[in-house]
Amino acid sequence: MHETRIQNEEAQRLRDWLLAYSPFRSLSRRELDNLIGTSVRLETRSGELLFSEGEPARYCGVVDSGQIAGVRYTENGDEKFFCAHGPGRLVALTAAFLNGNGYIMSYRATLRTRVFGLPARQLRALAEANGPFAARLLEQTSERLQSSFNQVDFFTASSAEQRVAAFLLQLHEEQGTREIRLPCRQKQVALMLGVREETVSRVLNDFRREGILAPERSPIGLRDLDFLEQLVGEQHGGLRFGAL
Amino acid sequence: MSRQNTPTANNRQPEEAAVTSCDAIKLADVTHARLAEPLLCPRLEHCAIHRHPFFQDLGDQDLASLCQRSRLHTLEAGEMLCREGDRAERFFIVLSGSVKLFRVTDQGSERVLGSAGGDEVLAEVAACSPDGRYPWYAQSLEPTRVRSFSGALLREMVAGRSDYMMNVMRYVAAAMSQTVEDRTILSAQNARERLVQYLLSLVPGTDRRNSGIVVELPLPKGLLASQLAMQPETLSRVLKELRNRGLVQVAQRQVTILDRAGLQEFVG
Repeated sequence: MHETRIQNEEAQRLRDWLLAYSPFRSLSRRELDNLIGTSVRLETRSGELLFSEGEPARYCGVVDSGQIAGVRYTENGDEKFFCAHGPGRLVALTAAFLNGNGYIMSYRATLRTRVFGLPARQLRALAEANGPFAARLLEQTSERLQSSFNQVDFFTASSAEQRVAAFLLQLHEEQGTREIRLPCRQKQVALMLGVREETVSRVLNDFRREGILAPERSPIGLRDLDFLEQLVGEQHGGLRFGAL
Repeated sequence: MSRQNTPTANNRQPEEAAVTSCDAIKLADVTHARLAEPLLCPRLEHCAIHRHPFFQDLGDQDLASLCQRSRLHTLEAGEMLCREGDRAERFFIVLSGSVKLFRVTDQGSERVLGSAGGDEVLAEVAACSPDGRYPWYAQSLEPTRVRSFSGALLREMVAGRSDYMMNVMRYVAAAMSQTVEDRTILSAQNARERLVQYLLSLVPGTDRRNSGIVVELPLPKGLLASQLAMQPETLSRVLKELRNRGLVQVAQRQVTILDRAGLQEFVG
């Protein structure tokens, strides 16, 4: 990983990314300038780890280009995939507030990726000094917690078909089109949903055969959204996989 | 699931946690009256509320206001503390006993999502939001004592005090970390792997030993099976298998891990 100071034009981009998140709009011009001024640019090759689980959180990240996957490693070295973050997404924000406990998962670049690193110490200092900023952060974190909790609930009682359907609906909402693309390899989708890779293929093929999906493999054409929504069930509507 | 990451005051017997000698709380319990001036409580060493890390950084005056509007709930086994979807007007600290947290499926069966025992804080995150709702039903598993506090009052304090906000934020972050742990366990594809990962997750992070680690299942086995998305028979079968292989010893809800590396290898 390569760490450098950020350039002028990058500072403007970082500002735009940050202002897309409501808590950062509570910061004064000077506070935002200071935060950006202390931020760094982190460059990673594809496959390289950006932050490691348990390591003290020095930075939170804002993805500038490329893609970061949130993962955990088992004792046997297997990778458990949680989420994928593209440009503009904030990663590891929570870790800044987990005093000394470090990152709650590892973050690995799946492509050649550039990330802006916001110093965790600076974020904490801002939250301590600026009440509205802290309040918004708390609110947002609570919402994300709720999503994460709903996933735990979904996992305790859902079939493979329901998991795949919920994931397709989520991508539909995120990508704003009926022609969706998987954000990562099918194997990683399987890990995220807690099902076998073969099962993901089988369910997708069943859906294609039944006309719920278009026959093409990629992009995945969603033909029968009603069916997918009914399958997932109203009580799990708006479920977010990989919400963190 | 075990909410192990939640910071709590340790080194205390559950019985002792129920004891409070705080005058403000005693008065609130007896009178239910709201005084014009909240009584300032001396921070007594024995007061479970004053010593609780959730209230760390709160001033005497603030704490007195919270205490004065707190309520003690003395529950028999099987009583409901709160219901999913209801407005989270109050948050809770379990003083003694335990509660299970669950949701109900469309078909009417329970899905256990976790449990909470002595000293644990419940629904603090929901109470932080003005239109927060309880994310589950909470029901006592045994005779249980819980103290509840006003969420509105907490929000008021949090809004005015960034340092206290940071303390609450730490709780929210810890809860987030716990849901990630739960998702890690539940996304394991087979029952055996889920149970083994769950057992390993009960081991405190500081314990580096390979054998002789004693962990207590926070729920009866039937409910734990629901939490781990498996049939009770499956849970029994897997536990037996682990015992036969000399990996664990099981006595009621106490599980002794005899070979931690072996357990890890078993599911690898």
